[in-house]
Amino acid sequence: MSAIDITNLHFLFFGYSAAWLIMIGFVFLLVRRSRRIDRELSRLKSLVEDKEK
Amino acid sequence: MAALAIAGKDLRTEWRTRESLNASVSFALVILVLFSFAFDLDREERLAISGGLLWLVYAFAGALIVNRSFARELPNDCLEVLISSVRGWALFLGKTMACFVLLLIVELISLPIFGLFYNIHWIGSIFSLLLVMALSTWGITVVGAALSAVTVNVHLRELMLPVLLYPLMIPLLIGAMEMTTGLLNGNAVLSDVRLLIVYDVMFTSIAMYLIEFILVI
Amino acid sequence: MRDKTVYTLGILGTLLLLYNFFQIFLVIPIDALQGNIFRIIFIHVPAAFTAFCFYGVAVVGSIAFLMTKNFKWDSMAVSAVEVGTMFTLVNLATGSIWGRVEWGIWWAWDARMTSQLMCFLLYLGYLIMRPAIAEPQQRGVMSAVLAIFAAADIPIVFMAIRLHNVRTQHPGPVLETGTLAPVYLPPFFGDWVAFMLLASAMMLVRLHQESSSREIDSLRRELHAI
Repeated sequence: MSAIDITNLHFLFFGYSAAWLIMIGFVFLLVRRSRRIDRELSRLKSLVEDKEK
Repeated sequence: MAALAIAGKDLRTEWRTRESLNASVSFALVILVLFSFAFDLDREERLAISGGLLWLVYAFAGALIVNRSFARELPNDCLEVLISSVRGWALFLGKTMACFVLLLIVELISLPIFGLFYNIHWIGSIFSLLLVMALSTWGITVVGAALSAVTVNVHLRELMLPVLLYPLMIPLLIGAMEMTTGLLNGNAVLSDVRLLIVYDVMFTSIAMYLIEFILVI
Repeated sequence: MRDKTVYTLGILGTLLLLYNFFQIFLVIPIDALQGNIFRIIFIHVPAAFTAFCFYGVAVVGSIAFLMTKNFKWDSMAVSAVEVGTMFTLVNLATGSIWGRVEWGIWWAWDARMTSQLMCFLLYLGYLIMRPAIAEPQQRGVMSAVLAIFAAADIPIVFMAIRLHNVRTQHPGPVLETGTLAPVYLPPFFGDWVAFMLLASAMMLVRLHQESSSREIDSLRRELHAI
């Protein structure tokens, strides 16, 4: 394999990695936000139940 | 017509204090001076960047002017009074016309100073330049006034308006910059007039339709 | 029901993507001129197509919200813009890397990439503005207006940049002039479908988050009232 081919492969790897990292990063942000929302929701629901009692 | 009355009111108010006008003209001059320090250019390079530089200055000054447009009505609940007394599109059109006149004044004052600092002859193509300035300034003020209405009650309005405005203005600025550079270089080329007209017509109609939704919250 | 849909879409999308990667890396012949870096097109362009589809969804949601004032449409708009912006970022990153190999520089200001950068900036402004407005109704209306402005601007941006590709010393990307050879089309469209499936799964998750946020707001108001 020539030097150009190897360079090409390196950048191909970087390109695909960048794409995957961005997508996985977004999914990670979604999961983190979901957890935060679920925590807040259960906290508020229990507070409302307590107040109603 | 209500729009003309609103425009007249804004212009009269501005003429009494001239605060917006003074600030914009001073800002334009400062930017022109700063750019002359930032770049050390020969004549050809200066001619090549002339349109781009001029319209950057005008865009920055325009953002200052449109920012004040709806924000000036916030004290004493003037905005509520205006919204209830005139149609939304008339209020918007009046404000846009007032901003248009003010920005055009800033541009006409800055142009000779630009010519002086950068040794660029603009008088030869003045009528074509005026056409480009008029079309582009209307585009800037239409979009700017609409975004001014959108951001009037938003936190960090002064920061938010430029962040939203400049990306929207990019196609307009591209056309204006290209044509201005061409005209200042002595080519009588008005190739992008169609682009400017399309931009102006499209955003004027969209903004006039959507302004009812923006103002009546 | 919703969870099942999300998982199904996600798994289908991932499997399709894996199948396509097998095709891309091990089956189809590579481009003789560009070499291996050409394979990046199978992510670069489908990401852009996906982003534009979701920007279209955002416009529909925005218009529907202005008409009906139903917050479900606002949720749809913001979810679509977020997912679309993410895919635009993928497009920009892969395009930059491709450009680095093709032309030796990381950013070439060619027509397509510049237009994509403008789209990214427009919708980034939308995402920045939203948290700055506290009141939900106002936030929905202002976001909808901005999304409509941004969508109206996109064709003009493309027109302007194409008319005046100001950096004319740089060549355009391969796709500007050529068409894809037929052997490349199946993984190309396959990747696009896979991205659409994954993006739809992400959007459904985001939609659920928006409705939970509204529930949180109403619970807070209820607590305040009690």
